[in-house]
Amino acid sequence: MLNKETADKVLTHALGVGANFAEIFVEDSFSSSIGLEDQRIEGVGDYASKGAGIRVVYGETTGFVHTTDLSEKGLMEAASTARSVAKGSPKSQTRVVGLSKRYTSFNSETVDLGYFKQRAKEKLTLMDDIARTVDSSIVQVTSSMNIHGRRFILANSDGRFVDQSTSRSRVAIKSVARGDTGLQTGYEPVAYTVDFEEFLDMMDFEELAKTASQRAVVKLAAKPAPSGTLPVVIRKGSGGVLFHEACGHGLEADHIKKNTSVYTGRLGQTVASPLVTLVDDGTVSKQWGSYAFDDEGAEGRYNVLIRNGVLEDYMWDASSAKSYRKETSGNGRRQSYRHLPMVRMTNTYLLPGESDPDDIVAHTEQGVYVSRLTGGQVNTATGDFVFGTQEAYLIENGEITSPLRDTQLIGNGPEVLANIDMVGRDFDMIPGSCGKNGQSVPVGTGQPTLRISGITLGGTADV
Amino acid sequence: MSKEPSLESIAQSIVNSAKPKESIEVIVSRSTSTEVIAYQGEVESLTQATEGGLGVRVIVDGRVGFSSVSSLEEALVTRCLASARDNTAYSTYDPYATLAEPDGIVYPLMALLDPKIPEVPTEQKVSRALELEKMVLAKDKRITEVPQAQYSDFYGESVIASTNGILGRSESSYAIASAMTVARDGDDTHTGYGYSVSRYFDDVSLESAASDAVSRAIRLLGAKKTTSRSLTVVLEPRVASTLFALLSASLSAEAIQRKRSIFVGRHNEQVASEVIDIVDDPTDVRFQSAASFDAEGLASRPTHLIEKGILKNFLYDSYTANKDGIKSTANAVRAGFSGTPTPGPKSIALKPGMRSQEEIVENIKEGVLVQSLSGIHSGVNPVSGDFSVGAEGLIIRNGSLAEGVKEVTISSTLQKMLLDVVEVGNDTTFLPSVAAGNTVVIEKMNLSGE
Repeated sequence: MLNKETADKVLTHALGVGANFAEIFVEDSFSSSIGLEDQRIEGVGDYASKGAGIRVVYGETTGFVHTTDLSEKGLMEAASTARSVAKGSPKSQTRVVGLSKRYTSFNSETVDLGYFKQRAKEKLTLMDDIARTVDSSIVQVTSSMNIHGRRFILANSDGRFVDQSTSRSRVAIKSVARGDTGLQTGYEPVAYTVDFEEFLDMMDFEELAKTASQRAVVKLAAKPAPSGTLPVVIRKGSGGVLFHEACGHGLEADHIKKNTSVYTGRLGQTVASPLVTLVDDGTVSKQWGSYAFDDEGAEGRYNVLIRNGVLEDYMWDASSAKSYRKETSGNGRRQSYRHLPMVRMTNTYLLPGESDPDDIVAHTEQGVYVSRLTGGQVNTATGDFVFGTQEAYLIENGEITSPLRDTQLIGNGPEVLANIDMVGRDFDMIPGSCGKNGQSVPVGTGQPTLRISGITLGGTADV
Repeated sequence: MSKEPSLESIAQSIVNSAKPKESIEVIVSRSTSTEVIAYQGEVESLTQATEGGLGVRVIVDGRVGFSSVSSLEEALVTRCLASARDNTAYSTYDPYATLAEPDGIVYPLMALLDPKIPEVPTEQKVSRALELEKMVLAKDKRITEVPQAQYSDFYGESVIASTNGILGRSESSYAIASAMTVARDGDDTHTGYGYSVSRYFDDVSLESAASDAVSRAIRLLGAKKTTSRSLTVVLEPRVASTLFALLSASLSAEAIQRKRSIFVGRHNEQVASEVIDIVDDPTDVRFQSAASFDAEGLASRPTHLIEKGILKNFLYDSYTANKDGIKSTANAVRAGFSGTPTPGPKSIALKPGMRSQEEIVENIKEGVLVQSLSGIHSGVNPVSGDFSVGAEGLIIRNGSLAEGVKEVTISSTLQKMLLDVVEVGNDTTFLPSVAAGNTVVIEKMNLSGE
């Protein structure tokens, strides 16, 4: 895809007019997917992409060009356009020395997509059969499986050369149940950064199908959620997205640099309850947000963001780190060669505490137990957020009672962090997809069972 | 890039390669784009790209296969066609699988392209972003940050062809200036985002983008939570557009046939109040999404979906129409060349009412004017209709706009909200969305705060 000689030549050309930094990112990726709906296999499709992004930095300005022409001539032309932002005088020649670490390299042309589709078809059919037998109220089941492979070669003027291949596999199933209250859905996605063969070994597809249907069935009996401010207990793993959204984004250094985060200037200060230790960890084996190297060639790392309630560090990519004379924390990611890298999370999670998860519920007189949150949205400048619940129950007199219809949690990141008053000793993680400035990347989120002393619920129960 | 073959010749060679019993449809696109981001008086980034790609759909004996590639390199295109063919082997036989059949309706002539966009020198585009940042900062002292001032444009061509004799070429362009803003007043912080968009370079107004970005940040400074109660909700055009884009997705025949919509089994029923008339009309060039044909190459045409609150029709592509034994309404949409066609809304508009937003507000005793929603995707269940989303806006008290509110949710069900619409404003606003927006008044919703 890219050899060191060509890389040297293109980088030298890119730096030609006095630029401070140049980078070539060549990417070859594919994805393949298959779906099942109405008991029929459909949506069988493949996607392939191959191209390069060339980045030239001059002072505070980045010139970026992406192209599908990977010939030397094509890359040189792209470098010429990218460097047009630089206005200095010529610089001496660069040398790409190289890490040359190679990670499980594959060739997208030799991956056996036929094998994937055949096996995926069997598994989806199996899940469909099982999901439909859970309860007679199940009227519709939809499922899909997909695999994704991505190899990139990165060379930059700091002398970095990385060749990395990553495989990802994902399955999702949605069951719809019909009852007196209308239609209710149960949705279960599972995804790991592993190749398809390993994914098949790790997965219990039957269990997954059962869980999705049971979730839908339980919700048929759901009553309107309360509205107003109440204590909320969040089951392990199901609410990690809250910390990703409500405080993770605010700890991304690009928001700090632009003063658009409530956490700007707060290093060393108490920003959360002492029960909170929050990390971003790109090294968790097989998790959805993990990688050996980020998309700027820096190694993925375990970074403590908040320790015992005190803000310890932000997350950095190369560009923001440079502004603060720091080192990147391995959080520079890009959706594809067509995108500029920026600060992104990997797997963000809250470390377990000491409480017994059952005690947390038992100590809650009146509240809501959330066993699955869906996506949310946050304004990093104010910390305000909203999240949807996908499975939630009332807590009455220390016991989990009736299921609740989908509702929204609304609040403020720093306030919620301060209001965490019990943290369980259990833990779980789930995969997700994170969007920022139009780019989407896979991430993991996790947390132990915990309690927030008060959070606003937007239910429809009579006020 | 070296000399490239025309999109027509790439498309035709794939269509011509069809074997007996094979139906093939190909969509092939090429585009150039520029994006400039300004920050603190400097260009933060300048991105330039030319890209191309293609998607192929093959049907053999009722089995569908699809593949796409984001390159027009010959070897990759050949591999893409082969993989679309291979994929037919895994699909279940579907008696309704079909490509679009030309239906005799001719493509309306529409001017959707500004040839100036690729001709304007890059420096001029760069200065637009820099200029916008300056204008935003000059407008109000309370704007303390402009995290991003941006100018972007796009210029693209696309060809669709099939073994059924479909052949269409479309060209389109757009240019947008936008800014993100942070306003501060004492301890209070609020953010805004404003833009001006057009398919013509000269019609993008930096002035209106700047005013929009500033007013959206400052108008809610000082907003607070309020007490939970039930009240009249007035949606601003931009908010109504978001809501009706979402609702109209539930009018797609696919959502109906798959029983994933609140409108299942409600054809010819009163699903909304009498003031609601909804039409999808992609021939209306005021929509950014206007097009002379749909994603399967059928000529665009207006489709009346809801009339006086009565559900009259759904949005069909060829497949869903075949299933119902009718003709497509030419509402196939797709996510560029890498997506397969599905029926969906393209250019949704409500029939405007008689009064302006101001006149409407004057007649409301107690309500809230909602200026933005958050969590719309997690908070709305299009199957059950449950609706509970974060909202910000201004309280309406005795006919006047009063204090700001934030950190509250408004909730109801989509079914009830549609029936509770008491008025639509006369202020049809075209936005970069599949739905235009008007001021919309919903008689009662629950607001949750303190």
